[in-house]
Amino acid sequence: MPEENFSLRDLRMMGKVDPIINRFLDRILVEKYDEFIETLYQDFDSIITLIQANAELRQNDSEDRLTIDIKNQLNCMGYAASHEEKHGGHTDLLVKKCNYIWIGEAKIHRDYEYLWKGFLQLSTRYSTGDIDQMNGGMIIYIFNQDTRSVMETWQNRLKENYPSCDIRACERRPLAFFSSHIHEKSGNPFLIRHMPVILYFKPKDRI
Amino acid sequence: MVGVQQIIEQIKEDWDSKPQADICIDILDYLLRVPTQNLLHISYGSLKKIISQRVEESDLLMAIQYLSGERTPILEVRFEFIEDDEIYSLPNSEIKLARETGQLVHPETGELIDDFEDKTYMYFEPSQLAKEIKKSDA
Repeated sequence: MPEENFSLRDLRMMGKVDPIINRFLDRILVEKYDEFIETLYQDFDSIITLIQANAELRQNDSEDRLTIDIKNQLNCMGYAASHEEKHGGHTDLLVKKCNYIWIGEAKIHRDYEYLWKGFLQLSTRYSTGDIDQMNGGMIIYIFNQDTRSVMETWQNRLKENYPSCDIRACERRPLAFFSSHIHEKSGNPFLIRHMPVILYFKPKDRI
Repeated sequence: MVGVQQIIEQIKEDWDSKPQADICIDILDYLLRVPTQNLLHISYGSLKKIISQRVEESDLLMAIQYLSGERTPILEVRFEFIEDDEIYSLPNSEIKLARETGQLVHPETGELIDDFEDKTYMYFEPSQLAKEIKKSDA
């Protein structure tokens, strides 16, 4: 290659060892809403993996602290992310790209009523469900053990509270799941990705 | 419209003490300092040269991603296909199609090119925002 140029192959080779660089082109080339959502969720998974890798440093973090870290990392990836931006109320996480919007509600898991409240805030207060925002997310920080069991129980509670809500598995990250319901405001289907962040940390090697 | 100082503050807020903060500020300074007619085609190598310190390739790429993103959009990423000293600019839609199909349609001959990744390069231009900031800063 000409010495001062950088080819798509160079980019692909670098992406093999760096998952953030791996989606460089995906982010640059986003045009359609589905591409925005797909790329955003892959980026969320990378960010969540990084946070989980240092759970021992997060034990005293508040909901806001954790969410601000996610917001900062999304900004560095080229999104316009904000915390507490006014959008029908103060949203936990608002992400914009190419005139599309994604709204996230972030909760430390205390009890399922608290998660349900977050679900209602997201679905009935912050989002409109219009064509530029047909997806949203619940980010669930879990300091308890057994994240799978928490997510399964949350899924069951959601079905009990909202029987017409459809649930489907998340293929890329089985601990996460999707719910879909008709948005009260727009009448469109509103798809929510429920994403756990595993923060339980009680090593037993030094007891 | 946002001003230079606001952009610098935003860069510092987002990158904190990471090397990308200085890289972004160096690139911003370059875009504002160099005459617009000399910024019509900025190669990756040119960007590398204007950074005041030695940087990791991945740090520079992340800085480029950030500066061409939604929050601090001062740089436009473009693509060009170079073969036998002929240079063809490619729209993003062609790059998307080539990635999906694994083949690029040659911009002139229409032939399908398998090894397009070796011959397709990124280059950069100042964004509309960068041009406006430069004009208001002059």
